[in-house]
Amino acid sequence: MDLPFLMQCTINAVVLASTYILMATGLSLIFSILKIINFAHGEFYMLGAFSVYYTCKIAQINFFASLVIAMIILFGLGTILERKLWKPLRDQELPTVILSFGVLLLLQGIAMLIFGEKDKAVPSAFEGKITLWGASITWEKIATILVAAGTILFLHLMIRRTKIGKAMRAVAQDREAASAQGIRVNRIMSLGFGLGCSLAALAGALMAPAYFVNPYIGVTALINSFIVVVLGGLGNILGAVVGGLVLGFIQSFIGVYLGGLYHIFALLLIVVLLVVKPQGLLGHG
Amino acid sequence: MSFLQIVELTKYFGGIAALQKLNLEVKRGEILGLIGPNGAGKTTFFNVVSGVFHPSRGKVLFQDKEISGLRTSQIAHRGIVRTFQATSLYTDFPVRQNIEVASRLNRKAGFWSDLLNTRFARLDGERVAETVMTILEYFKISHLKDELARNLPHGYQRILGLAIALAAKPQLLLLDEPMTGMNAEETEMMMSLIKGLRERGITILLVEHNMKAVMGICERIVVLNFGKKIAEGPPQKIQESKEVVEAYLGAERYAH
Amino acid sequence: MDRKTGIQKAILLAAVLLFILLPLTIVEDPYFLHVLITMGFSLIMAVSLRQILMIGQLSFGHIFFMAVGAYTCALMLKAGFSFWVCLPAAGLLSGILGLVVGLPTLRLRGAYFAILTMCYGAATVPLIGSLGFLGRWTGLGDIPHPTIPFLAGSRQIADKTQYYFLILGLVFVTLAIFYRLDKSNFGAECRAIAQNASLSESVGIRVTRVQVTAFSIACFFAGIGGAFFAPYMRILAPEAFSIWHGADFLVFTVIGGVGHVLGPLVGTMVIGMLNEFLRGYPEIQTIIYALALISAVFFIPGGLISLRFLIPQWIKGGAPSE
Repeated sequence: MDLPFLMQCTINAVVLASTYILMATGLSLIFSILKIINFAHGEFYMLGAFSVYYTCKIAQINFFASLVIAMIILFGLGTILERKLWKPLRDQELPTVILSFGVLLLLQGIAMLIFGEKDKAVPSAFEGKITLWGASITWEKIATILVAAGTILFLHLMIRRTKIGKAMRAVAQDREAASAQGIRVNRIMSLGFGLGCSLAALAGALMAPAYFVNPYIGVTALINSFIVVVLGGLGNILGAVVGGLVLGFIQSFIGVYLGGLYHIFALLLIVVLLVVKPQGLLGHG
Repeated sequence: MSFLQIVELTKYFGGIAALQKLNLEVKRGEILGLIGPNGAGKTTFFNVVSGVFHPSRGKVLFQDKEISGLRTSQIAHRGIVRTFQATSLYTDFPVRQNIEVASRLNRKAGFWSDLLNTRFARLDGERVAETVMTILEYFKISHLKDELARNLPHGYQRILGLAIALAAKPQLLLLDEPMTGMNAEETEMMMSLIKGLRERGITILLVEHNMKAVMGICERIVVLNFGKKIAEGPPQKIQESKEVVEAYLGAERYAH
Repeated sequence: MDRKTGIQKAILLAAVLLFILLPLTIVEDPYFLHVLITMGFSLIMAVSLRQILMIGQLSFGHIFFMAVGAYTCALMLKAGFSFWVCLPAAGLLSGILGLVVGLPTLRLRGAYFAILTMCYGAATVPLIGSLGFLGRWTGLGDIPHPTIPFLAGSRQIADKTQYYFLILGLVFVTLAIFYRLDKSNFGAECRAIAQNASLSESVGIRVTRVQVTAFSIACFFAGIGGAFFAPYMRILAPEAFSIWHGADFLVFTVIGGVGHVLGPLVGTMVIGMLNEFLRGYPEIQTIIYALALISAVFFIPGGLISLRFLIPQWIKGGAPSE
């Protein structure tokens, strides 16, 4: 195993990890603030990818602007859905899971209807590559990593420093106490949900040029983000980062050798982890 | 043979000791009260004794056999049944079914007899059904037998919680704040029901904030604070104890 | 009370007769029989899935156990075993696998368990596709038909009508067993655990044991459904076991209602008939499923079967009594 190959795999691992981290953070955010697992999370990834397809390829809008547009649109959609659908079912666990599955089907069905089933390709926004230690790395991959890292950093700072971030943490810790302190809990919950969805959308948007876009990519993304939160714990950013990196490296290095058996491996991994340490490798926060 | 023996019981959550080297004995046939300010460790104590948590250190012995670390259902099989502070009911079942399903420990028919509806299972079922009616009549709620548990007024819900526990044929009952939210009249009724249970040979360990009730029915009281036992004795002694008053006042001060 | 059960029994008998006479008299179109047969094994999947819902858990991976049953049966049939040996063997293998999976995982709280089931449900297709002895992506073909041993040689179950009666029999047995389960103390304990697991532990119900037993039984019947599926389809391809087909069963069960054994029957029939109108429009089908699920959750949480309590009022023609 020579250095360029190693380098290549590593870069790929980090690129993959970037999307996983974004997805998992979104999932964790929704979980900590609303205490629910959003099974429709993958569909926002898919819609983010489609958004970029239409803005970038069809409307020829700048890639970075497309990313922002995707995030804004899906933030809005997420917020509306939370307020109309999830809010009335608050605190009912089983109906909420069924609901999120229904939303999964709904978004996917609408995507199938409007966008069609055929694979769509989004062209690379960046030309060219650089060579590092013998491996060739496209600017696109670098951009993906930087955007993801930047977004996570921004999110982390927002949660730590801003008023809204503090409000979110308060609601995550104790809803009633937060309400007593005058925090508008419903608003924060909608906000948190929308934010989580926009992170998924960003992940999908970033990965759109790398793979094909079709209505079915959401489920794989969902399963992967489940693996990440099982690995790293649900409810904290650090866990998502660690889990995302672990999964990214596993897929990049071992996935090449395992091929189809990768799924069995991932499955066994999840089962073992869920049983041995349900809170994930880092526990949850 | 001792009845319930707590030996050096310690329970840590993270770095915090919810229970510290607790030593306690419950004698057969008594009504023992467990009091203390909020956060003193009373619920944690119940959780450890009933198997929800494993002790970090120390042991729980029931009738000289160690039960620390057993699962809750196994502990129930040994004869210890516990009620909960919050809903201790099956909200979607009618009252009668609440008691029926809680009669698991009263049933003799096994899985296959039950499934195949053998004669043995049917007869066993009839016997249990009679016991269920007896329990309902004892608590004077048989007229409510077809009402959904969630539709009952609060006081009746608490009584139902007690009836459910009784259906499990306990030798030792752990009652977790059974009189929460009850008015004076309901509290009186609950007190006499609990005394009645003792007459039937059930030992009772009671956690309760309602001091009048505690002093009224408990022969002995143990006071916890910060996971440690700070006083023990008959109600009179506890009421006059300086440490107890300070503990509660101290808690009061922190609360403000 | 007697009159009520008398009427119920009469309706039941009429329904059974209807289903038996249907293919012999009115319907001879093999396609229609195919639809009914599909409803049949879907029903077995749906009603077994219902048992998992009865203990308060949700499984997106039930299709995995159907696949286990299907491939087990297929391989055994090809190896020369009689179908009547393959059928229980497939069920047993699925059931045992259910035990192995359920034991460590059922104690997980609702959403975590659901996540796990979705993961192995989604892994089913790639798993089959990567295993050589299961035919990888080209599939497992030439699965022989079941034979009924007779004194004078054996008859094959080969045409649609014969398969119809086979599945009818299996459905009947399955429904009867789950009905009996519901009425037993075991069934009551399942429902109790779904409502309040800690209280159940407290009064001596062995929660884990009940959950694992219910789950294993559900997986057993999923295996039986799969075992029928194999010879009926004659070829097994991995795509047949995708998580989307698994989602179908969930939709049937939730829409039909969990409160009664016949709930999944209602769901399977209603959605099944709807599917016939939507043939060729998978997107609309998906959207309708979605809307049906969401509506059910909001408006009829007990599913369509829970509407049966309103029937007496409709018959009387008056307003609801409450």
